[in-house]
Amino acid sequence: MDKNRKIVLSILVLLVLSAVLAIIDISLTMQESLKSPRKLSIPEMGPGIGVVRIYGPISMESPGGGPFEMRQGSDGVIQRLSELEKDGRIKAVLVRINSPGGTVAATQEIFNKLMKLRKKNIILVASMGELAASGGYYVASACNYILANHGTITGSIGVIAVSPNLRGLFDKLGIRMNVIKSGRYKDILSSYREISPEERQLIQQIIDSSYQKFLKDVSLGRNLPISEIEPYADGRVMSGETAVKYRLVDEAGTYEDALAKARELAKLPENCAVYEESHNPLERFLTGLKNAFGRDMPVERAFRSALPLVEYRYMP
Amino acid sequence: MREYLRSLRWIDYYFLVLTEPRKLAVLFPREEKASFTMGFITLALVALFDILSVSLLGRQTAHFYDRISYGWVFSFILLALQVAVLASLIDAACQLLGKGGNVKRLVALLSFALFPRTLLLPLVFIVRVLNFAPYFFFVFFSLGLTVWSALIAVQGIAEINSIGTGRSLTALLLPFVFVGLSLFFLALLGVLNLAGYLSSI
Repeated sequence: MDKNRKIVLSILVLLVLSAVLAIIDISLTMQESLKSPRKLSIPEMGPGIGVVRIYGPISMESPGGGPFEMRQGSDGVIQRLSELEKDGRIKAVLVRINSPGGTVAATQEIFNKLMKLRKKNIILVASMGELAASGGYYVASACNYILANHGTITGSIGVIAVSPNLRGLFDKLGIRMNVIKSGRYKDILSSYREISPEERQLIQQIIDSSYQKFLKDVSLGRNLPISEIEPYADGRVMSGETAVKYRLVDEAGTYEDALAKARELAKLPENCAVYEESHNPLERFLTGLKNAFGRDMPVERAFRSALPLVEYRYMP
Repeated sequence: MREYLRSLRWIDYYFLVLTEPRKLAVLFPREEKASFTMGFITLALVALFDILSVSLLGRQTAHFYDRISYGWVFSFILLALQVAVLASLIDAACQLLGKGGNVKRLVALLSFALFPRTLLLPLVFIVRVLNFAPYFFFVFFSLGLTVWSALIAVQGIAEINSIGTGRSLTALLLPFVFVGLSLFFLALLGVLNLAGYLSSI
């Protein structure tokens, strides 16, 4: 055999040898890693608890959305609740809230949906995060049991409508608005003029009616007479600890405690399944993009364009 | 075939690819069938060694057995397709330069040109055993061996088409420029489409 062939043959032998060694090495390392205890992740199954998260201001999201987008706002929450309602495995629902509240209609829709689940004997447990004030508390009150952390900011039972008065600024800049309207109240709460006493009275009526509805629903959800809630329903915020004292919250506790309570009330075993909301990465990516570059949330947009909104919302 | 293997003439291909790529290209017209077959065997080897090199550095799980079986076949087919497409594009580039018409030989040449990539496995194995920046050296050696493969291809293309090294290099680079530009415009159109979709919802 000539010298060149010998050289190439030895290179080829070296390559084969390194391949064999690599396979042995990989197999041995694999065996070692298999010996160490491994955490098996099995898909959740069987009767369990469904988790719904209500984070941020509550509002209705425009129906648009793409086929791969997550539904947001109250519509998204109601859709999730409907899914849990239809799922025969769901014996209890844990509603995790971290919200300052939001628009009246969106909050009432979530409240009504939760009450519907409650009537179907699905146990509802609310777990409050940092903030569950105003509309956030309204939603929680639909649950059979409410837990809040000691430091949770809650309460703020009340209704608010805010409209900026820019008249002074308009005068200073010499801006005048031409308004042609069909009725005297058509431009109610306009930012370019003072609000008249009659207009104030009209808005106050909406506020009062929404407030009464708030009280009535909290009374219904908490199974407490309105007279017991009313003294603290003056818009004041309170800590979770104080809310327990006023019976607006049942117990001080964390998210884990709330899960345990849901298990207990639904008579589920310790190791029962917990069904978290899941979204595929594409959905999350597209929704993230939309939130980052797309249009604002309706509440923010409305506020920025100075359109008045009546809200169950804590506005520090 | 058995006799051909016993004759050890096939070893000459690997000797020439590592030392004198031009002589290798001269060999193709004489042993067209054998060189073509050996080219594909080389591709299968390259696919196997690629998988082993990557597996050696990655997380070692039972998935390795899937990679080394189904993954090997998949990589081989993918590599063969890449070589076939690249050979066709290089031939088209050669025709633009006034030569070309030897796709089959180009396929064999490009398959052999990838042979140095098999050397990545022993090199990675050594740095892994020494535990000396294995990921850095994996990239470093990969780049080095890719350059070596490109040099083999350039010399081979020059010999097959009887052109100078400069024109041969141009013929090798043109397909990459073409594919790169196509991908760029495709990506641009995709981004414009996505932006339009996002702004319309």
